[in-house]
Amino acid sequence: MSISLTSIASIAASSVPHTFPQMRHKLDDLAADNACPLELLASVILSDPGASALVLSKAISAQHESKMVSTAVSRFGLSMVRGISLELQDIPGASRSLHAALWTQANACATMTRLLSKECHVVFEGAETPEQFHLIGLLHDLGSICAARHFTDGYIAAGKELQKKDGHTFGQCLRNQIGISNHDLGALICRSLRLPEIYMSCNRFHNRPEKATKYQNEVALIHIAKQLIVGCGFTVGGNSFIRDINEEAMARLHLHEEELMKVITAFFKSMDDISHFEGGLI
Amino acid sequence: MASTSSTPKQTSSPQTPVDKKKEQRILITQAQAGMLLARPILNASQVVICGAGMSLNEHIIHQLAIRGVKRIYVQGQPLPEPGQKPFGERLAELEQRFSRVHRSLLMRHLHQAIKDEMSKRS
Repeated sequence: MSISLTSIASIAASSVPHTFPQMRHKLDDLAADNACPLELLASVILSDPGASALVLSKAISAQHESKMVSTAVSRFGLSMVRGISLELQDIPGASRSLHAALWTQANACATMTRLLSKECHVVFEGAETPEQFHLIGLLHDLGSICAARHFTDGYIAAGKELQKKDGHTFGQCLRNQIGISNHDLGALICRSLRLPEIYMSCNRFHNRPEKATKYQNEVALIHIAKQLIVGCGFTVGGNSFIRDINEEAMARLHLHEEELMKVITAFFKSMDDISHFEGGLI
Repeated sequence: MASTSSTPKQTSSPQTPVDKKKEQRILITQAQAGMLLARPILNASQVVICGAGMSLNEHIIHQLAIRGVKRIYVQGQPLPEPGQKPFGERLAELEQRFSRVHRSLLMRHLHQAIKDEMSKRS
């Protein structure tokens, strides 16, 4: 069932980031306490792709130059967090387990990206701090999050199609089902939220890093991080096959096999904290 | 995000040994009034701020959350476990995930490294 690109663009343009009700309640509780440390609020928001995307979008709309959630929260304070909590939409109960897997994968990618960035001996154009690497990992696949929310049946059908078709990517299967890949949909979401261009590049090209023309190092980093987390078991629905890691991406970041092995060990040690997104336990 | 060293934590080795089967590690957001702490909670200076056996109420849970406590050990098993799959099943899923690669040496080595890590942790 293909959907017209006009309809998809309209949904992407009007799509407000969503989250679990439990996350909204947690933000409400914390923001209601004037003694709540802003660092704690920022760390809660940074575990949630919907809330993080909305905070960044608000900060950019307010012409705040920071690309980090923590600095946006300290600049705008508790009132902004209350506003974010009101604006975030709730994930419907029926697709909550699917979203829990997507949230878990986003957090896994954020962790892997942060760990991997420490092993790269290159200068990154758009990301510098651990939080910035965390964010590009967390928000690398907003297209899948949007598709699972607004085109749930098509998203599930794409996973089933991928199981049957060797040689296809999930993006191709999703395009067959709804008319757009998760990569292009993610780029549309980034544009509608006015996120910095680095997020658009990472969303659009993380599956084919050789096509990126901007932020090529960050896109290569996300490409490798994504394959590694899929290999480690952080998959969603039928999108469950690791693909060959792009050799150009490895060369671009001066990464070798030894560094990947080191990062995998460190990643498994971090798994206790990200093995299951808390919202999925509701 | 992982806890930082400056945030309060629960001890990993309890002062009073507790049978592991009779405690559960849960997120602070999953804590409910009436649950009993299985292990004490220490602040960054290693001072006990909540002792083992303390009964939680909404005020205590909120205070722990704003002090950065992310996970606690409670007595019994009040929440269903997420359901760790048997090792054999996880291994079969690993083979499935790698079933469409194996063309390069790197991917074969990654496959083996992940398998080894899974074995170590099982």
